[in-house]
Amino acid sequence: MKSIDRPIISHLFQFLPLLLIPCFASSLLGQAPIPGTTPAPAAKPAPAAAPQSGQPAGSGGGAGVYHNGGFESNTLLKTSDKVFDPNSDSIDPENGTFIWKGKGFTFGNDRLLGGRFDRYLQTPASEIESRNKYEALLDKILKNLSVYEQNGTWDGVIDAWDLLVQAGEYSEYDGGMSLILGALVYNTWRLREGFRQNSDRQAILRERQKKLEFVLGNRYRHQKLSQIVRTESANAGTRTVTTEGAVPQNLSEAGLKVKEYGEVQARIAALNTQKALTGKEAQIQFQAQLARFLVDRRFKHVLLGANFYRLLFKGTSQQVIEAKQEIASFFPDSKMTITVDQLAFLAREAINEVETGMRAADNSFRLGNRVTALKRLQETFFLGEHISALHSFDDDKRATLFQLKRDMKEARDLIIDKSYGDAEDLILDLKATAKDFESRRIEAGIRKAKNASDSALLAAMQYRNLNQQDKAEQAFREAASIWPDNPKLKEFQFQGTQLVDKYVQGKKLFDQLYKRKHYREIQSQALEFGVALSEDPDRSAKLKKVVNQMAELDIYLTQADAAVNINNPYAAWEILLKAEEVDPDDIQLNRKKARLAAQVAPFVAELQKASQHETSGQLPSSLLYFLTAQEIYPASSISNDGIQRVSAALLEKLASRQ
Amino acid sequence: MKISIQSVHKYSIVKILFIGIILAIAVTFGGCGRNGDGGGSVPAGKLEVFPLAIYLQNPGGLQGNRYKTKAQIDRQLGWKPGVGRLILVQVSSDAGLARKVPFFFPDGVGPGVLPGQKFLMTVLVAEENLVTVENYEKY
Repeated sequence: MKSIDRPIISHLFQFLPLLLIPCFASSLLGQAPIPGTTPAPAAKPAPAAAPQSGQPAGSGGGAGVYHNGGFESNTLLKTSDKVFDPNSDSIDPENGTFIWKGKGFTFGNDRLLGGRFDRYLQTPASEIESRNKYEALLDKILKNLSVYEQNGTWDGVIDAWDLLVQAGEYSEYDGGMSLILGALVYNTWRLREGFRQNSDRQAILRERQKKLEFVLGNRYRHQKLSQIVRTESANAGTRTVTTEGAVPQNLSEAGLKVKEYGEVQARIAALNTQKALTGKEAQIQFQAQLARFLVDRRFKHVLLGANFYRLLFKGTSQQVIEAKQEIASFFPDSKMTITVDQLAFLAREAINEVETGMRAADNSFRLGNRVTALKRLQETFFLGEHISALHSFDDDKRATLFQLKRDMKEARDLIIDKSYGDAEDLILDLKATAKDFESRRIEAGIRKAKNASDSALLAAMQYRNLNQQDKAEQAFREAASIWPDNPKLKEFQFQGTQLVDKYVQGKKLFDQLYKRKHYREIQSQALEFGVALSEDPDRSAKLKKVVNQMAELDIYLTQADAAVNINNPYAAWEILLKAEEVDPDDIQLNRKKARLAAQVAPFVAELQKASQHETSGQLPSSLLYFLTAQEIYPASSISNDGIQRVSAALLEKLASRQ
Repeated sequence: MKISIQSVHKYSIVKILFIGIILAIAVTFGGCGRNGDGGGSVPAGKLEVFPLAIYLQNPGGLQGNRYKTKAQIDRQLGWKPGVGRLILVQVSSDAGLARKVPFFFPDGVGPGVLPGQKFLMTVLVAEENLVTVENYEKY
């Protein structure tokens, strides 16, 4: 029986190391910057499907697309900057300027710039009524002035001037511009001979001046802020409502322009108190103010001011403006000659441009090109912020575009934060909202980032399986840095934790089973125990012994089955008796013995008696029983062995007596 | 007690005669009349036939008895020089029972045997129920 071939045993242990290699990551336990890693040496690297041991993590060992130093996240950021930028090309957020037809408007800084547009998007169009009244007043002034130009009476001019004061009462929209113009006109008037000689007109003007100052002093007292708020509910869906409340300092016109108003007030006061100017000085002062109106995008005031200018300084509107300093920032080309009429022309063109821009924005919105609509609206806003056409844009459209702008900003922030999963969700929403949202490049970039992270993680897994923990850690960190929210990172960590559990619990379970001699259970979990005990030489040796033993036992059991199948129960029994020497407690063995016992009872009885007598030293009787058993089963190897053994012992005994 | 022929020649004839008389008296009046007695001087023809069935059932009860039996050599189980041989012989009873039983052939007890040969044997059920052949002859 010693010479029996053991294919199962030999094969099992031939392949056991290979089978255990992937699981020997348990040897990585202990240090665990990555769960499941330890510095202890383990099985040799499997030759296939693994990074070469000499290669650094991320250098393409077994990591697919994870190579060449990892993922270039800057590219994705640059792409996201472009894709998610709601600003028009004409906006320069860094310098806070807006360029229109080569002319620059300066707004200070990016935050202020964005804040003003956001405020516009949140302001309800339903507030347009009072703005329209204000615009109507300005239009009426223009009309009166043109009528005066035709009939040449001063009454029209005074009425127009009076309306300017009324327009100044719409402080939220006017911003004090009408009052400034009014004060400027008043001061220029005082120079005029006709006014000086007419005490009635002077009295009227003084009265108007007092009113002007009163209006200026009480402006903003009752100012309130209306905002568009978009609400969402499960039943009603999305709807836009208007809320009204006190104006936060940072959002109110007063807040935004408090400094400017201070300047306006001071300027008017200076105009009222200054000594009589010369005609030339007044003319230059007027020109400078018109230029400031233009720079402030108060295009209607430019038109108004130009009309007053033509009346006050007849025949000079075609002359070159001498207030060079005021127009220098607006007209970069210093060699260009500018006249008051040219200022008026530009103002008119700007007004037309705003109306065209609003139509373009509205049309883009209607076609679903919301990003384009947002950009057109933004351009139009910065040009025509003070023109009513801009403020008649629909509430819902404004709310939609405001949400789009916020989503684009949020998506960009998510890309910066490398929250690619959330960014993808938001991009889906953006695509649904805006047909013209250019998502492909950013989606491709996100895919690339995800793939790079997955590849790095795959490399980390392979390195961990090879017990190259340094490289595994490096690759893991790379995967996490590319995409921190990668769900597979948690999976990887969980697997590491499982390995730790397997390692600890495996030892415990093995000890229990070994102590109870439950070798059959140990055999059934041999691979798992192989992993868990890989770093424990004593237990590994025990495991190997058990596996060998059980393999030998299984061979005996298989042979016994074969003997039963050829109707040779005695042979089967003898095989089972040999198996019993390996593990007498094995359940399968004892079951087979129980099944055979009835068939081989006489034979077994003789063998048992032979054995008992042999044990008690009654060798002749033992020999006789072995011979009897042999008669029952002549091929019995146990009987034959017993006969030879007992015969020899008996002769020895007889010899000792001599 | 064994009596050796060589020893007889060492002593005087008187002594031999004396001993012979004493032996005759002992045989005549002693307790050796029992069948199968341990005495080795009983001729084979007067011994009981080896009770095979009893031996197989309770060999201990036959210890010290001497029997005659017909047996056929089956095979040799073992041999130790200077001690003897264990030979398996086929023993048959008058009742038709036939079994193979190991017999011990002490060295020098007789000529060599071959499987299949039949002998008339004088056997002693010795210690530990070992059937020891004292002499044998072919039949």
